[in-house]
Amino acid sequence: MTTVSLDVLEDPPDSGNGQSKRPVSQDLTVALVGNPNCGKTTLFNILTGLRAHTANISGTTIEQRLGKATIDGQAIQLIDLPGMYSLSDTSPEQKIARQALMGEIKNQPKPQAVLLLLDATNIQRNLLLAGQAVELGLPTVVALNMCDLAQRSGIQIDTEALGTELGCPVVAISARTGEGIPQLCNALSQRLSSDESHVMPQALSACASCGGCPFRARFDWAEEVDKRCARRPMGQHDPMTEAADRVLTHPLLGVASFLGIMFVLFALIFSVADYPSNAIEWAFSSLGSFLVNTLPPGDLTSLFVDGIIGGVGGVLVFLPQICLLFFFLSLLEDTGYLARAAVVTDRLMRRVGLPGASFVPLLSAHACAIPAIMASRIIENRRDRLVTILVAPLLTCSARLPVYTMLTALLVPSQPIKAALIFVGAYTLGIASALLVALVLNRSILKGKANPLLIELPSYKPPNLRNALLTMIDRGRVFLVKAGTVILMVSIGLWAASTYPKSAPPPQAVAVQQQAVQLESAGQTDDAAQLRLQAQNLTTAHSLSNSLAGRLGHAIEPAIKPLGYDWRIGIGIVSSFAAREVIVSTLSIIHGIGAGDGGDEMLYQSMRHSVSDNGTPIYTPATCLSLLVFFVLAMQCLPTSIVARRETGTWKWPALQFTYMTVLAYSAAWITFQAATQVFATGAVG
Amino acid sequence: MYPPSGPKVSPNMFWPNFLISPLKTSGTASSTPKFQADEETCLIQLDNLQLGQCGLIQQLDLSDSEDKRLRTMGICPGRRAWLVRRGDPMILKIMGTRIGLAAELAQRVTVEVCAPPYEGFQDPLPIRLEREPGEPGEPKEPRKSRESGT
Repeated sequence: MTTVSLDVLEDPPDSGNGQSKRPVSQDLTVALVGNPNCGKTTLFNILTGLRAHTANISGTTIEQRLGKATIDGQAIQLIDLPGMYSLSDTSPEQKIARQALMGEIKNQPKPQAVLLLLDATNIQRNLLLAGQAVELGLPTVVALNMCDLAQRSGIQIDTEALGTELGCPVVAISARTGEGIPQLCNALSQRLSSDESHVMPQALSACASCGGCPFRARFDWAEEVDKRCARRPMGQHDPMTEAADRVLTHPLLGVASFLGIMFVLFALIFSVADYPSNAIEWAFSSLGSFLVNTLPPGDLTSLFVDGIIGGVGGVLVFLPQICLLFFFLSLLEDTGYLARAAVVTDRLMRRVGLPGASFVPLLSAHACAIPAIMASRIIENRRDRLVTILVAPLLTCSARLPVYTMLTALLVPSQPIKAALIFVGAYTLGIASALLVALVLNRSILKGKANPLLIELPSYKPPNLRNALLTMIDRGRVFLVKAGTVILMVSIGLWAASTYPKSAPPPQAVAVQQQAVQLESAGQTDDAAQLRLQAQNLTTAHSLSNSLAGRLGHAIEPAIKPLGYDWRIGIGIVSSFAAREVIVSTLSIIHGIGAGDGGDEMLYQSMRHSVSDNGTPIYTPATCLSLLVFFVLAMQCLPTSIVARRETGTWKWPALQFTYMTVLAYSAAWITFQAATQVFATGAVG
Repeated sequence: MYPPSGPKVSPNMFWPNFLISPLKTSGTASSTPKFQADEETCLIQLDNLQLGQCGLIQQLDLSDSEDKRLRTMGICPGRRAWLVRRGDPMILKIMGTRIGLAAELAQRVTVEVCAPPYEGFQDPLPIRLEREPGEPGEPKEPRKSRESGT
């Protein structure tokens, strides 16, 4: 039996700034416990607002949200445990949540009280968890949520009777409208400041001690309690939900509406995210050119402009897409639709050994693999989650698009239909290989089949904008902190690798420079400026190919020769580990077109005409095809590895992911190159 | 305390009559090849329920983890399940909520077909069958006395 330690309680609750005075460890901790879909997040957000953050429960990959709330002038640390149906060891979440409530988690204090949230529209189901939570013996306050919805459908609940049954105060609230929240805070602070120990109701303790199936006894108890405390009219439970589900879970109509909803979702994400992304890109490039023009030229300026600003810009460009994705997914989840989506896609996905729930993360991977891996948390089973995480980077993310654009421009210049076909082919290759790899994983290292579907389909509810916004901010923050710092470090590292060791300007550049000086003295300043630019581009190209990254590109040339690549592409591949699209700017530097200022068409022209040292063209169709296949399949994204590490908890899986994708990409690119060379050779002869 | 003047909904308001076949037909007719009904007690597998029909869950024949997973969600002996949508996954109504369930799990759950009328279907909360001891339909494992909880 736990009572609240007195030294904390006798502290008079000084309203206002008491929160800052109290050391963190002395904060009262209250754990928020409830079923999924009972409005827990909404209540948590109301109580904590922006003063919350997501963190892994220490030593696990299970997330909880922590937030500061002020209840009657008392600072409270609120822990939002993952939503669950019971506190038995059915899933890791439930086990960890139980440990957290018992204070068995390292570096986390045992909560002084439990705020138990029940869904008034469906208390019987919620009472399973409620009974187990009350049994823990912590001071408990029950919030009966969604009372407005319950009232609307004619459900009457006797809160006092329910309080007697559970042995703790029950407050009717509606987290959606904010109704009853002050009363709830009152009840909570009263419970926290009274030191009377918790009285376990007799029926409940009988339930815990009896033998046989514990669930059955609990459900019987729940039914009895429900009978005594709740009255509901005869008739349909929720006509809206019934009607919507008749369409949305229909074997054919359901799939069609799912595809429609997803199409609208991604069309929205891509069209809306375009504006902030472009604005960010523009802002960073103008900041970069401003710094180039104001700061004295030198390594430090270069570090700022190419390393840091380029890196931060490269991170932020993805932020709008990620934020929007989570915003819309959160809206969809709030409405209750995502559970239906899992039902309709389950049959399709199970053929490749994935659960229906993995469809949405895999679809998100078409924007970016990072949010996809973050979103794979909705998959209950660890094996299923691992398979999803492992195959997600194979799907065509938006960072690949600039590379595809460049390669299609080289392969089929100004033939939009053929270009579109190549794009479709690349997307299809990504999807097909992801499904194939999932199948292979199911038969090999991650043996087993997808966890058979078992999912609650909650009643449809209007989405909560506030929740969606807070989720968006939260996920955006996680991305910036976890992936952003890594992307920044990698881009600084790559900057250093492509800048050092420095080399003297090549004789060619020196000659052009001298020519420019001569022209300048003759008064032809325009021509001179052009020549200077040419000299500068020659110098940067030369210094890049002599830098560490350049040498690495040269060093891997023997390895990538069978794929049809030379050292220039090698440098591009090395540099694209920060983000795939970097290969485009790297190649434009190598080809002597200053990054960004030459325009893409100039790069394509230059690439088409570039020849290797022995005079043969570098970017033959076979090479371009092979490079395309390589980029479809290769894991060239360190930030994704970092996020995969965060979500799986070990380096083992990201390492496996990197290895299998590299092997896959290399062999597929080799086959493509050999086949394409044969085809184009016979085609040329014939 | 039910609203005394509340609208009395006919049991078949939602499902057309022909979907709710009488118990005897569902017990003997083999609408599905794998249908194996016990004549005496009408014990069938959960996936053999007719649309709109109710089954009292009797037994789960699953691995330990799957068993717990189902029980937590209310697919637990003593609860009633209504089939709302056929197929794989099927949709059931149990304890006031809809649940999407894979057929391979439903195949391992034995239910006892509830006797008509199915008014319970309209009421999302299951009404437990009150049964005299010794009456056919008593499950194999001895059940805890119902009154002990109250």
